[in-house]
Amino acid sequence: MFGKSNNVDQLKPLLEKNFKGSKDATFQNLDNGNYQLKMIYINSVIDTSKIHDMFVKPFFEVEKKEQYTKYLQSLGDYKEYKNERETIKDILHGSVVFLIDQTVHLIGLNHQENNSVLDANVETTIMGPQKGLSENINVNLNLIRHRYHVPSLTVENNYLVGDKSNIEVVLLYDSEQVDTKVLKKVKEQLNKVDRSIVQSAGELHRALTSRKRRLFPTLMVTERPDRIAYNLSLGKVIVMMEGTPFVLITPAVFYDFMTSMEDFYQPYFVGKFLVLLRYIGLLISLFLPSFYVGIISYNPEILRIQLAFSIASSRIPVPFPSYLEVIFMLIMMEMLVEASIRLPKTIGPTATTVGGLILGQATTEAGLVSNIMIIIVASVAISNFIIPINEMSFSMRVVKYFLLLFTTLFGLIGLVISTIGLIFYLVNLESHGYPYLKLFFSESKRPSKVS
Amino acid sequence: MLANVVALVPRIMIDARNNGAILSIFIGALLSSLFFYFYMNILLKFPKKTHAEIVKEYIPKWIAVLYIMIISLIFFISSWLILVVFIDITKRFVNPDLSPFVIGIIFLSVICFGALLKSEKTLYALEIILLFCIPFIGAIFLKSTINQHISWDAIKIVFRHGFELPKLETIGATTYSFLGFYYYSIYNKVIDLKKKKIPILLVFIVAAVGIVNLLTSLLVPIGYHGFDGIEEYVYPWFSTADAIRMELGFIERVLFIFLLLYVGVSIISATISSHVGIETIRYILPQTKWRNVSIFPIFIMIVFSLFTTISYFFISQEQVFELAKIYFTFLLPMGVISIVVLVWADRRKKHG
Repeated sequence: MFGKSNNVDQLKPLLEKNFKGSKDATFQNLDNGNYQLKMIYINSVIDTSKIHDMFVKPFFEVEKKEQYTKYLQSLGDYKEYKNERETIKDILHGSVVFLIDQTVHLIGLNHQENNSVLDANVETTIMGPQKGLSENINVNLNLIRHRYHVPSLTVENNYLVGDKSNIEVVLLYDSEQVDTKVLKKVKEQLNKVDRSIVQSAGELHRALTSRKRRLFPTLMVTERPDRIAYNLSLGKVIVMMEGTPFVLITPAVFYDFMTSMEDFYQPYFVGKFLVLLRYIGLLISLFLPSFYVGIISYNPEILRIQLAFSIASSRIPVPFPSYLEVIFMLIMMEMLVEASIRLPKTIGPTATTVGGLILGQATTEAGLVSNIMIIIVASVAISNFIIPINEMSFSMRVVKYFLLLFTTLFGLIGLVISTIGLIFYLVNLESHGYPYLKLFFSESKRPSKVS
Repeated sequence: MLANVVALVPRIMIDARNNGAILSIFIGALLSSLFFYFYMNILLKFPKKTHAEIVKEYIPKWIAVLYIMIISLIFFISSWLILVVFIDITKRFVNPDLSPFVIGIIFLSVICFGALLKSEKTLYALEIILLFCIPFIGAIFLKSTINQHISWDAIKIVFRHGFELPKLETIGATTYSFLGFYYYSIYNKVIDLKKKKIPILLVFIVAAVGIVNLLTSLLVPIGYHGFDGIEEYVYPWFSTADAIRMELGFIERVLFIFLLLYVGVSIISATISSHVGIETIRYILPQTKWRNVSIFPIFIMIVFSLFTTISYFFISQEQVFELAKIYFTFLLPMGVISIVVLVWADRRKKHG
C-alpha cells in the first residue's frame, strides 16, 4: 500500500545527481503549514498544465498528510514504487515523483505533443478509411480499439527497446486467435534486441528478424488501422512502437505485400482484377529490363520480325550494347525516384519535369538510348509502384538488378535460372515460422490467409 | 515427369515407332499404375517416415545400406540425365556461344541451392514453377495438335505398327515418365494425405493423364515431320515446336517460349530428383556437422555438380541415349524390388 519508507534517503540524492543538471527537470517543494512534500518531474515530457489542478490545488485544500496520500493513490495513473532504476526510467517516460516524508509515490502524467492522427498517405485507398495512425501510442491504441471491439484483444506493454532510446513497444493480439508459437518467438526476439537506438518500425523490423542481411521484408509495416484490425482478426501479432505512425505485423507472407485494403472495399471481381493487375505489374517491373537485354544482345530471333526490325531501327543511333543502355536509364530512373522522395514538396514536380520529360526526350534525340528503352523504363517505373506495400516495392527494385546481371552475363537462360533462384530464395524465407512463399500445399495446419 | 516428355523419352519412343510403341505406352501405364498403387499404399502405412528411414529401421543393415545407395544413385542418375540433355539443348538452341561448362555451372549452382533446401520448401518451389509453366505448355501442346498441317497419315502408320511386341527399353521409357510417385518416398515425411489408402480414381487419373501425355509426345512430332523424316532430329520435340508459329503473338516462334519454359521445368525436376537423392542417402552417411550445417549433403552436391559438368565433355549424346535406355530398362525391376522391400519391411514391422 504505502511506498517503502527506507528508500527516500537513497533515492533523493540519486535523483538530484541525475537530474539537477538539466534545465527541464523540476524539483518543487510544497508546504501548506501542516506538512511538506517534494515533487520531481521533467516538465518537457509531462502535461504541466495539469500539475497545478491535480496536485498543487488539492495540496492546499487537504489538511492531513494521510488524506493527501490517499488522494494520490486514488488517481488513475498511480504507480507503486519499485526501485531506483525503475523510478528513473519512469521519470524519463513522463511520471511525477512525490516524496512525502519517507514515502515515494509515482504518478504517470505522460504528455506527448505529437498526438494528431495523420492521413494515411503511404497506403492510400480511394474508398477505405482515410486516416492512418498517429505518432502517439495511446492514440493508436484508441484508434485500434475502436475498430476491434473484442474482449480478447490483449495489450502487452512491458517492453522497452534500445539501450539509449528506451522506446516503449507494445504487443497487440487477439488472444483467442493468435498463434502462440509466433507470439512466443516475437517475445523472445523483443527481449533479445540489442541496439542502442531504435526509432522507426523498419529499424525494429531489422532487430526482430534473425537473419541480419535480408532483401525482402518478412514483417509487414503498415499505417492503416483497418489493416491492423483485419490482421488482428486473422490471429496475427501487432508490434507497436512509441513515436512512429507505423506498426509491424507478423507473420507476413509474400501475398500480404501484394494486397491493398482497397481490394476488400471493391466488388469481388474488381478486387481480383486489381490483384491480378499487381502481379502483372510485378512481372513487368522485374523482367522487362532483363528481357530487353536478353532479346537484343542474345536472341533477337525470338521476336516477330517486324518488332525485331522496329527495335533495331530505333537502336541505330545508340552506340552502346543494350545492357549499358538499360543500366544507364534504370539508374537515371532510380535517381529520379530518390530525388523526388527527398526533395521538399514544393520542388518535387520540377525534378520530375526536368528528369522525365527533358532528360528522356534529350537522351533519345542525342542517340544515347533508344525510344523503346524509354518506354521500357517508364513502364518499369510505373509498374513498380503498383505494389501496394512500399517495402516490397523497394525490394523488387533491387531484385531487378540481380536478374539484369544474370541476363547480361548468360542471356535468356540466365534470366530463367535467376528467376528460379529467386523463387528458391523466396521459398526459403520464413516469417516467424511461417513459410514466406507458397501456394496450396500445407503441412498440417493451414496458416492464416492473405491479409 | 513433365521434363522427360520432351527430351529422352520421345526419342526412344520414336525409335520404336514401327515396333509396338503404342502398346508399350499402355503396358507402361498399366505397370506404373500398379506400382503406383502398391507403392503408395505401403508407404502410407508408415506415416511421417521416408522410404530410407523405413528401410533403415526394419531391414537388415547391410541390405539396407546397399539398397539405399542404389535408390539414391537412381535419383541422381535421373537428375544427371535431365541435366546433360538440357545443357546440350541450351547450347544448341538458345546460346550457341556460351560454353557448356558455364551453362552447367549456372544450372548446377541453382540446383545445389534448391536441392539443399528443406523438403517442404522444394515442394513450394515446385508448385509455383509448375503453376506458372503448365498452362503455357498445355497451350503449346494444344496448339500443336490442332495445327492444320499435321499429317494424320503418318500417325496412322504408327498405329498400324503400334501393337507389335515392344522392346523392354521402350516400356521402361514409358514408365520413366510416371516416375514422379517415387519422389513421394521422401515427401511422405512432410505431406500428410490423411488417408489410409490411395483412391483408385486417382490412379486412373494419373494413368489417363500419363497416356495422353505420352501419346502427344510420341505422335505430334511424327505428325509434323513424317514417319521417316522424324529420324533426322536429335530432339524431335524442339524441332516440332520450332515448326509452330504464333502469327498474332509478339513472340512469333513458339520454340523459344517452349525452350525457356522447359529449361525451367527441367531445372526444377532435376532439383527435386537431386533433393530426393540427397535425402535418401543422408541416412547412411555420418551426421557430421560444421557450424550447425550438415556437411555431407553439400559435399555430395558438389561432387555431383563436378561430375555432371565434366561428364558432358566425355560423353556424346549418342552414349547418353544408350545409357538412358539401360537406365530405363533397369527402372522396371527396381520398381518391383522397392515394392518387395517395402512389403518386407511392413511384415517385419507387424511381426515385431
